[in-house]
Amino acid sequence: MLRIKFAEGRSTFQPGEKVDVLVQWDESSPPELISLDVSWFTVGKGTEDSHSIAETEIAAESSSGQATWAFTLPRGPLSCDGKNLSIQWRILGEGENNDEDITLPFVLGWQDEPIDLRKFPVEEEKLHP
Amino acid sequence: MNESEDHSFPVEEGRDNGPQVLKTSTSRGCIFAFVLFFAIVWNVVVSLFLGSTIHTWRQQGNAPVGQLLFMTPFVLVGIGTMIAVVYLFLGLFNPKPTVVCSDQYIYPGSEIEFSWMFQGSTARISRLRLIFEGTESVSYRQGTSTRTDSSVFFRKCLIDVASPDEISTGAVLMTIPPNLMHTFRTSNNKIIYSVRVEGVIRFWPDVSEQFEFSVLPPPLSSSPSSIA
Repeated sequence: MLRIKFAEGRSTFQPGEKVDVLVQWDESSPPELISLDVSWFTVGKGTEDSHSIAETEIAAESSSGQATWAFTLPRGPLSCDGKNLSIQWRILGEGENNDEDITLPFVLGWQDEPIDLRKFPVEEEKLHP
Repeated sequence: MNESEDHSFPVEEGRDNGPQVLKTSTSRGCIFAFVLFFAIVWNVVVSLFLGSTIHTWRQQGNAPVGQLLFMTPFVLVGIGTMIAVVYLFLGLFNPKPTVVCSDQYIYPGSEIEFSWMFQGSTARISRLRLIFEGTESVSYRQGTSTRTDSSVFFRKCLIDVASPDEISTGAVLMTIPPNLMHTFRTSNNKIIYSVRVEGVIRFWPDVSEQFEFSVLPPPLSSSPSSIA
């Protein structure tokens, strides 16, 4: 089984922050190579856009073991939730012999939650009274 | 997905943080030219079919009711395009607003000033409003065509004035909310910000111009609450 978790146990990070990731594997047929990819992607009504900001490959030489990997988060785009568009972040882990992808979501922002676009005021516009 | 440079959000480009003249998102002349071209093509094609229908009517002596009913919506659209052409043509003679923002780089939490002025006489404008808007815009495939949906998630009226002196030129301060999302642009998904100038002219097309600008993500050295 392949597991990915944040070394510090939290899932919200600030722009520019260095993030430590712990990768653990324990399998009868261990993956020879584990690939990790950090990316943002859009969710919602529009066609998905995504962009990878860091990726690495870890060689798993024994049937069980663990490794750490660190990357630095960029300035943006910040995580947000809107009516038709959300921006989310994830770490995607994939073992060479494993068909199942492991996804570890996280929030990039200055607050603990994604920016909620639905919380802002939308004033009525009545130009002609 | 690739690990190349990420252009989805704006960053500083080395220039000083001085004032910026905002650009309109669409040109009146371009919109007029596009609608005029569309109206000409549409009405020429429809008039060819309509001419053929009338010719048949004259030859046979009976009205081809089915054909006429089929043509009716196309003729109505043609009339609509001609009305739009006249409306947009009159709008070309409206005074042209210019909006200047005090800062080149706008961040969540920034206090900025928008100032406005007009080219042309503003005597006919009876009411003027400046409206700050944040919009989500998404594009997606539907069948063989691409559709775009826009939704305003933040709207704030910055000024609403009716006296001629206040209309012709002025300035207004605004604090960008500290927790506002920055501008985001990819091929299918956008978060954009603009200031809309809306001026009412009685018995004439209104002034309506949109000026886009970018809100940058906070610099890495500071959180939004520390930017002022």
